[in-house]
Amino acid sequence: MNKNKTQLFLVASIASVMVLAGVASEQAFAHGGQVIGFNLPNGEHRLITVIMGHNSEPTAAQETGKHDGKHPMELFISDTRTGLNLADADLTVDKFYYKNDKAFNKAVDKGFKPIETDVAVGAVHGDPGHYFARQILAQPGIYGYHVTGTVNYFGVMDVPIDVKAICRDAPDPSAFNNPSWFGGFGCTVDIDDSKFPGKKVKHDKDD
Amino acid sequence: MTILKQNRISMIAGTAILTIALAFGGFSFASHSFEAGVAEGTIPDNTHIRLDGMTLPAGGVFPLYDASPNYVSGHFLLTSPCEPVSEGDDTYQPLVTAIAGHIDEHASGTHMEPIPLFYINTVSSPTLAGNGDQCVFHAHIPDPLNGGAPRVTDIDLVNLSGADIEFKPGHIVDINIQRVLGSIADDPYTGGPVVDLSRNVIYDLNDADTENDGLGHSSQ
Repeated sequence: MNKNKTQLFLVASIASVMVLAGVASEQAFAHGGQVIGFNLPNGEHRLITVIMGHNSEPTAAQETGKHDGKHPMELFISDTRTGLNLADADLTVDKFYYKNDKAFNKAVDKGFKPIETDVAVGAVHGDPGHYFARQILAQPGIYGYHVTGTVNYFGVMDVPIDVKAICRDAPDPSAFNNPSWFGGFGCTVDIDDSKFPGKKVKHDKDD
Repeated sequence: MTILKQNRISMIAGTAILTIALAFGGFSFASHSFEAGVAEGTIPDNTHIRLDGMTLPAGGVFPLYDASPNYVSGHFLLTSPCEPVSEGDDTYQPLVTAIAGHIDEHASGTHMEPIPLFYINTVSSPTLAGNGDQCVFHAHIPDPLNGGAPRVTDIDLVNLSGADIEFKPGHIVDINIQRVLGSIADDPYTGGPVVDLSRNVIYDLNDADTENDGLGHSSQ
């Protein structure tokens, strides 16, 4: 009897850890990406996966005394078939920002114009295949990035990279994103929006 | 001992170390463009297997490593009895075949291919002793440029020679695993079983033939 209880407890414990681990990994990695195909000099086809998002999601805008807003735009670049990291790249990013849905919709009609262009994207020291464009997100809103340049494929050739996406809560992300983009990363909120109970929570006096 | 003698000994020792470093380290640097190595402060996992005393019968399989469910990256070293890739060739191939990939309990998820091997002539018996008793081969696990299975959880030796292979002292396998790249549960092989039982493709950076250099190896 006791043996059965112990076994049941062990199974339940392992199952709980597995479920929690799965949830945790999903929360920590709200990113999207693109797969880029190319041919090696010997004619064989290869694929590179570029994953893009903000570091330390979910993101909140900087607010003095509350949150530093440090959320670099980050990339994870790897060989799709093997999962090997690609540690040598020459990349820049054009950055886009829209205060709200109205501003974004206006840009859909009139064209998307970057706020900053050719910002350097650098390798994260000691973490091959991981790249940062360091920044402080100053305002809540809709952020988008267009990364261009080349990734060196294991010393054999430079592969052109063109990855473009806006955060997934924009009214119509497909109007901005490259067609082959999959998944998504979160837009940036006011730090107070994540407070609980928040300012929008109201209770009856009787409660 | 005079200072002059001491200096001469130091010079000889230094030259010897430099020669060895150039002979081995130089090749290594040129051949490891896709090996990131282990993260700083981490020791790689090393498996050293002596083959001496073993006779692998024709069609026999000798499992060497199984990291399931993780697929991994690392370095593979084999010393084996060997023979020329083709008659009169100065590049040698092992009598035994090294294969890698994933062996799944479901046949559809099984995918094994020969490992692309680099023949290291400078420390092999055809160069040192004029016979095929012991050749040294290196491989990168996985090798994104030169082929083989892209995701490796399992490494085995297979005897495809049609006759018994007898291993003697000095015949070993050394597998150095440096990174876990993912879980085969997340990136499974499908549509199998794929089991490619052809001999290993052999690359040789040190002979006159540039056709067998493979990709990813700039000049020294």
